[in-house]
Amino acid sequence: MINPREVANKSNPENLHKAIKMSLDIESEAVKRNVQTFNLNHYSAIGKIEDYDLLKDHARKLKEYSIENLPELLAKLESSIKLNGGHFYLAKDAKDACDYILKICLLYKAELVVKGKSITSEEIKLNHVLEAGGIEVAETDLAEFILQYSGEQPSHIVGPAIHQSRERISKLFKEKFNPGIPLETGEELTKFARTKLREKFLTADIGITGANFIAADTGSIALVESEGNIRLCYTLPPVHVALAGIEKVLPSINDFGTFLELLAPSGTGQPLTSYTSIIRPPLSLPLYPFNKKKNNKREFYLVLIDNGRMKMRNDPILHEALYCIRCGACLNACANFQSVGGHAFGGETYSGGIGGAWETGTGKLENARFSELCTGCSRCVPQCPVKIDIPWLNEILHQRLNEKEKLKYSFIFKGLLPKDNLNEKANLQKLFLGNFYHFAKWGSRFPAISNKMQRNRPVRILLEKFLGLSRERMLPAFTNKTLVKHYQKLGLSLLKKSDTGRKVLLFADIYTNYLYPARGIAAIKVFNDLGINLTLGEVIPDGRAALSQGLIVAASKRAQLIVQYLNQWIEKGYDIVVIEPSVLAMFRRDYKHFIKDEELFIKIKNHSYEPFEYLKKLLIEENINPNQIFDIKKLSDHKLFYHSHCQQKTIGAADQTIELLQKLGFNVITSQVECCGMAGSFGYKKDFYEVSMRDAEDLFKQIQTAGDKDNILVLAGGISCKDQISEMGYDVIHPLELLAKILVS
Amino acid sequence: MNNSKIILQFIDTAQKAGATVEEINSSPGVLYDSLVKSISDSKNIIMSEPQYIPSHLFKYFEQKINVVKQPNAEQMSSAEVGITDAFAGVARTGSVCISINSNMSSYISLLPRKHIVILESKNIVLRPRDIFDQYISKKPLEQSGWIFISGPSATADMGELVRGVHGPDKLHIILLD
Repeated sequence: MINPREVANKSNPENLHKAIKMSLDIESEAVKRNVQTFNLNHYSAIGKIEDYDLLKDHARKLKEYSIENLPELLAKLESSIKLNGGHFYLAKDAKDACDYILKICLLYKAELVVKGKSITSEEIKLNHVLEAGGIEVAETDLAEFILQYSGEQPSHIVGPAIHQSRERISKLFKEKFNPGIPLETGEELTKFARTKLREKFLTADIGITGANFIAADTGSIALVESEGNIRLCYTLPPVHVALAGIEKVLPSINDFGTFLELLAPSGTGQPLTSYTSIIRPPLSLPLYPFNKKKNNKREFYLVLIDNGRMKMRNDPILHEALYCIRCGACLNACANFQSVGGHAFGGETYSGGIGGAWETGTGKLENARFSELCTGCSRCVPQCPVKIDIPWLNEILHQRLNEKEKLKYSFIFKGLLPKDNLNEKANLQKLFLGNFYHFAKWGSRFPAISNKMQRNRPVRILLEKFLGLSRERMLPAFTNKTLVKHYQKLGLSLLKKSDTGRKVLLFADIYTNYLYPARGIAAIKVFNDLGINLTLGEVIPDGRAALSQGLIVAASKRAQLIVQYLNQWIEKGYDIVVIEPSVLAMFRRDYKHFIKDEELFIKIKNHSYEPFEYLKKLLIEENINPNQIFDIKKLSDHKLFYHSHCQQKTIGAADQTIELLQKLGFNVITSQVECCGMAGSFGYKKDFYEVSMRDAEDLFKQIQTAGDKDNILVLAGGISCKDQISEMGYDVIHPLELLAKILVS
Repeated sequence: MNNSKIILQFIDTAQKAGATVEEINSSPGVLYDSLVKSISDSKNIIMSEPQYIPSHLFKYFEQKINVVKQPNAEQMSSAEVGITDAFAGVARTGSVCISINSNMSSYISLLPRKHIVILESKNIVLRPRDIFDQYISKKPLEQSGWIFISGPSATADMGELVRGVHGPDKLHIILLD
């Protein structure tokens, strides 16, 4: 069996593959159970915060200010700590910090150190240095206690051992401790650890904690926990060492309130954890001679580390990662993380969506290869309390990793690519997938041949070998008549007199056009019946496919062209309707990184609509009763299962579909998953096919529970979701196709 | 939100966090009854000197029950029950606020298996930020700080939620009106 430490260094791609396999086989069940619980609890906790959005804005601004003014804040903090009677040290790197802390231990002739949970101490590998110096280190956080004996690295920023099931922990404890008492239930295991560790707390010479937040004005520290071990670490021993990254510093103790109201709800779904300590060390609190040694006065050391953070601060992309308050919400919301946990979707120390930036910043870029498990589904985005654009961070990391790739065959390939790829450097697979539209143009000219080829087994094996596309996955079929061709035929016969005076440009996204024109035809029919003057636009690549593969330059070029194109239509009084949700999300979210003119970006954003979003607006503003346009009785079955596309949910364009369907009288069951796991090309890649299918398991179960193929109609707005759900043999249509079927006319 | 709503919310959230809560009239006799019931048959009871609750309310209790007010190391580490007061409560989170200073509440609320805390209901505020606002701007900052205690100690690391880890496994809150 592989110990996760053996595959912790994933700069080697084989390690990533092994780690994924190991996680899926052994850790997946425990990870999913724990992490999905956090995620569910998160939603109900933040539902109780009435000013959640304002709070996030405020937290974001505080972090921007703090990182911007970090040198000044550090200077202020140093004088506050010293004024309080404490010691302050700013270590430049891991070695510096470890050496300094070892020096403290030797100064006080420490034999035993008790430690609270500190991911930062894992980052600098503190325990190795102290133990090599002859000091006993007792990890007191239960998860860290477990890891100390299992020899693994943390698999989650907040719950480092959530990959371990109770059965495995029980087996581990019995092996290591030979206890002679039953250790089966959670209670028995916990009581055992409590008894074992209480003695350590009472006799320890030094207590080492992290620090969740640090106030420069008073020299106060906030410490967040539920077990009580951190309180014991700073209260009992005479010497307290707090270790933290420099990014933890905030201007004032007053700022703690904002962050504490966000941290626990975001991370574990609790209003506050059991103990939140606001301390100003060294404490003026008497010491107890528990360990019968001389009752010294209290000493406090604040050890801050740089270890790459100042460099992150100067990096135009990585500096946003410094705002992170380590709540873990982005881990919990991520379908891929839920399936594999941090031993696959993580590096030596940091894991999850935000982990790649941290491993890069405190280590090296190659260690962030696991960030390929970020698909850009964006479900983490609304959950981040400081509004970090996590997918964007990872997309840039993908670009930077691409630039380091050793390229095979790509030079042959380059001639086949569109010109906006001239400056792109990436492997064959990414160049192919990022320029999908270009190959789709050819594939759709000869659909019979191309479809037959991609179903041919030897061809599938070649595609797997050269492009890394899994042979297990049926590739989408090209239509024999693109949407554009359909429209050219339909167009004139459908044009009615415009009743509403509204003009809509239906954006001809490449997925609808080349793979799934039926939903486009449905859109044309429905909008036409509602008296809207609808025009089908040109087929222009939007950049989503390129962005997903880290082809940032190509994505940016495409964005510029699209924005100009759309602007022309908006100027003529058109609203833009986009069927493919991943493309709409480009316009409304991702384009902000590519369009320098903020006003222009906002203009495009405000004029782009998901079809049902537009319909809702139309029905309200024109005071139309939907039951006059659509007749539910035209269908015999009224039971629907609707799966919302991930990016569509994030931009707030999913609920309108459910609302309208319910208004029309349908019984709508909705999926309760963050993402189906297909995520564009992700599920097609042979390296990620298994993760993708593991992600889909929950969705498949929910659909099966809702009904059989014959008695339930499954609807999905995104083409990826349709492809994924098709793997279970159910038919999937776009909600627009349903509307088109029940038009009164 | 008026005071009675705040108190109701506090009781609800404190219970959800795993604490037990009772509301009593502010009198020495009633407080005595509550404390005795809560202690049941535990031995080795330690108590911090009240700072935020009028000390006369404890007179019956201290007269009749053997409570150690200035525990030595042995008494502190073997105590079964610790009794402290709290300077505030937070309704949104079900928290009681214990100050860290020379009255030993930091130890007494941490080492024993059961922690009983007495709080005046008029000192319950709505949100954590209100504690920062009130106790920093209006009163001098508690000398070394304070702790928001929200329920007994707990962990989810063992596969299910377990209450009682390194800190107390029972938290009982007595609210004085």
